[in-house]
Amino acid sequence: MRRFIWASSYLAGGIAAGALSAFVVIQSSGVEHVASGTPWLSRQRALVEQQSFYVRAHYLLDGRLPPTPGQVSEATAETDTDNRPLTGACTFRIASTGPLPAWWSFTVIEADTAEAPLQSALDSGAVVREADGSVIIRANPSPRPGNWLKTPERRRFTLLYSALPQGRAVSTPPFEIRQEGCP
Amino acid sequence: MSRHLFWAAIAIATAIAAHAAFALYVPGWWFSRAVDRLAEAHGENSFFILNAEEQAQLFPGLPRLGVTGMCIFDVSAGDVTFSANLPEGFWLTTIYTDKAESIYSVNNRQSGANLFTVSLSRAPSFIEQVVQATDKEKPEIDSGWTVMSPEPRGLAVVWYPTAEHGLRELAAEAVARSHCDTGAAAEAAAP
Repeated sequence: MRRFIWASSYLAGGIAAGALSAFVVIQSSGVEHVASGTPWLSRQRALVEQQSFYVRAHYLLDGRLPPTPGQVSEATAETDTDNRPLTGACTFRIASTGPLPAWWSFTVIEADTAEAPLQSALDSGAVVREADGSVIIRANPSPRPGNWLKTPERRRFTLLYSALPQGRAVSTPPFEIRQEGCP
Repeated sequence: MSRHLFWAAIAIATAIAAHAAFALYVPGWWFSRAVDRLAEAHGENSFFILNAEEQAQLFPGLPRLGVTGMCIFDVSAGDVTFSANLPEGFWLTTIYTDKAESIYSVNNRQSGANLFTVSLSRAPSFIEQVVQATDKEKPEIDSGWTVMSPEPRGLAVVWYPTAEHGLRELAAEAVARSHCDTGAAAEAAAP
């Protein structure tokens, strides 16, 4: 009996460790900073490589399709430019820092999963631009004047940026995210 | 001591097997549930426009104002023809396997035409490739674009962004002119 318990616990431990390690590898595989000093993360480069198996598995587990390589580029941010976590408890100012691509879009995803109930989106066709053509968006749970992205109340969220790529390289989203205040 | 080493080795072997089984099977199974739900609602080998909820689920990065059309194709019983009939403007057509591998992609500029046909067929297996190489035979390719899918099931997706909310319905009507047909239906529809 004791031997059976030993054997079962070793096997159960092996199965749990294997499944957990697969999940961790799938979630972390191919994630890299688009450029140093920015909060933007992307799986884009890994997605076009031959060994993209784990990267595609990440999208499948999320119940969504990956962006078409070379046609739509995608990056996510879970922190602001100063490395503070994005949370609905604070207001964040998302401001363009350079020329914008022909089409781009921001989506707020709660808890890093596409199945989350809250998804607020804003794209280049719907934003109000400043006099100099730049774009400023405020992310907060309550409506803000100008361009507003609704975020979850007091919970962390992920900002998803999609755009038509400029050239073949993975381009850095031309936006910075700054915390404006936490009431 | 040796007994513990033996069971530790068994646990490591089990962990490797569980890791491979999870990575190979679980993500595909999980995603196929979403595809099954769509196929149940809209049917296989037919083209349909995703509603806002379905679009947000499958493509969270794409704006809600855009129109996304889809054909869930199954080439296990024969070839499927995807006939695109898209409005003027930017659009993107991508063909995925049901394991989310992008096997074909074209946009309006690359295509040069808003009306085109893609023949979808099952890629030959390794043994079939060897037999074909031995027989010096190659699959016939018609004048349209031919995409061979390594999986029997896949998704042909059209994305057409619109600038205003009022245009979405009009664009959806225009994109919905595209259709997906099985080999027999495509032959019957041909003049």
